[in-house]
Amino acid sequence: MSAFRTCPTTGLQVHRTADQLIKANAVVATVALLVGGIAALLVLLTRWEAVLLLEADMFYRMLTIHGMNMLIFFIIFFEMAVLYFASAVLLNCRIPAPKTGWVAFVLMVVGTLMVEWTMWTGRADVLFTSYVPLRAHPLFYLGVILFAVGALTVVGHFFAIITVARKEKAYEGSLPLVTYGALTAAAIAAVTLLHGAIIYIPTFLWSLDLMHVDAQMYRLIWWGLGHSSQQINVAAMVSIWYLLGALTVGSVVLNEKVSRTAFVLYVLFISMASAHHLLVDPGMGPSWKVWNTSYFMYMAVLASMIHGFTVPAGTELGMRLRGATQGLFGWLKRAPWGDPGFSSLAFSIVVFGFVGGITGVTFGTEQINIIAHNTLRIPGHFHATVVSGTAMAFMGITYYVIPLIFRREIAFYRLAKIQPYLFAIGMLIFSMAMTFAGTFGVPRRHWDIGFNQALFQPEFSPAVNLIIGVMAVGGLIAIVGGAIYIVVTVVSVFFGKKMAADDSGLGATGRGLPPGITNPPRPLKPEDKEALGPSGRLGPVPGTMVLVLIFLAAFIMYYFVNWMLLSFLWEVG
Amino acid sequence: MSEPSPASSSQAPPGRGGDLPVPRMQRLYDSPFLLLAACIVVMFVFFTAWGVFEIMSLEPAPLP
Repeated sequence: MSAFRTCPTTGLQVHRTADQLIKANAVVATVALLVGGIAALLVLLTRWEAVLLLEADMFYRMLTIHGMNMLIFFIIFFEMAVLYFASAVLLNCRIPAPKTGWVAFVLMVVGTLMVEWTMWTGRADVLFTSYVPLRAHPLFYLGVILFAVGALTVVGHFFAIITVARKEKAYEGSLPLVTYGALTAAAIAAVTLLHGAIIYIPTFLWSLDLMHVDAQMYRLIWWGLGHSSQQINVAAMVSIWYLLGALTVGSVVLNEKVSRTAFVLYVLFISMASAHHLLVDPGMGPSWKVWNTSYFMYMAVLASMIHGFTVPAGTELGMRLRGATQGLFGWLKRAPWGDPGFSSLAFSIVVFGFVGGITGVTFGTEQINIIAHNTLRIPGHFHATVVSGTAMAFMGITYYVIPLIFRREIAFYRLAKIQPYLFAIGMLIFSMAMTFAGTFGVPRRHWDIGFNQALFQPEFSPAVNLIIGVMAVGGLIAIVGGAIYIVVTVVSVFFGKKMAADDSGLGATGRGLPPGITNPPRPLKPEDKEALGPSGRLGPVPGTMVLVLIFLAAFIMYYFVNWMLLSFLWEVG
Repeated sequence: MSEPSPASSSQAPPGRGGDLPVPRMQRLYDSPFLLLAACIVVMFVFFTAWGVFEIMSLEPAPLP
């Protein structure tokens, strides 16, 4: 059997080992998503005061399990699959060290199982941050270390793949933009995992009573891992935005220089956003805080703003060049909203940008952070970014990975079509309600905000009960959306109808395949640009210009409201 | 029409053949290990090392 297969849909030469590594990592990611999702349901039904399902100790256990499975295991296993796809598959090249790839995978799985065992047996109720002096079982830390070593090996393997691809001339010119985005994710991953090693090795030794670990030092180094790991997610998510745009509607790259510069800004500045977790820490001086959260983080925010423009703009231009030129938003109306890949892309961009991005940048301001820190505003922000943004984008690309890599049709395709809508609407309600509740001072990571067993009961506004109820309803809708994704994915991968090796019969029914596969966007011709005609006052992408102006207005409004809220607390003069 | 797709290699536009040198910034961006090094150095200098220095230079609080 040849080491490569030719993808009948795309014509790409796919190394069979890359196929297998992508599948293995994607399957484990989905299992982690399931575990994290079950924990999510239990946590949600406890934070909903009307239910208060779990006792305090089980609540913090489930919160730990939820955080580790979602933020570490699900997302990083999926990103390993993305790295292999963006390198070996998109560059038509071989995996140079297959055994290394499998050893790394096994290390990650072993590490995951060790951590899961310690969490489920009550030996690691330390939450995702595992702050010292909260002490978990030594195998918790050792498991994380093994996982990180495995992931770092895959990152190194990715760099080896693109080096080999260049040497063997598997591609010409520069790396494709999607691969370039994956490269930036890999670079940030290297920094992230190095910080993980620096802090988890001493903490493992501390758990064995072999050395002392200072709590402030731990927080500093840990957030070099903790938030940077989310920046890997941002870079990977944006890469997938570009990929989904190309697959679903034939989006174009407006300007290679601009998009790549934005990715370079991520590499240079995005990790410094870790510092906003330390804004209220007394151990860090103001100049460190201002430099790392203001000057540096805004350069990374600029990068997100650029992608927030270029991705929808590339989509709009790609569609206008193919004839969707009616008015400002004709292209949006004609977009394939029934394609779960496209709807995931659209919702990922909107919710990530409007809710996640705006809130995150605002919290990075030291003064506003004072009123936001440790409230539900923080999880409101990161559920909008990581879940509605990154996870949603990953779900969207899964609907293309299933036919392209697993070579199966999508099971329950009608359910798959509505899944992004359910998930996005649920998460939007959930994260916005969380943000509102946090504005009223509701704390995060808190078992019972009624303080029923406490010496005193701080009074929250009565509106909080309603907001928490709305949050719970939104969360339940999102969980249904997530459950549909898992069912569709698992059934498709293991029991889905196999596609013919030569794609014969493709599109005969089209029931189980997204339109980007059965009826891909037609290649552009030189006359398409001429047919577009001259641009108006808003340029060649007027619809996107209007959307970003709306976004800018929302951003200004949110900033203004936050400073106004702060002024209620801090009287000046 | 040679509008680039995000999933394909970025080639020189028609008319700019192999005679013209690749621009310096493009060559810089195309260096994966330079990018990796920049990421590591910037993060470790401005966040980690500076942060460690801040903590280490804190004076111990006097005990009552």
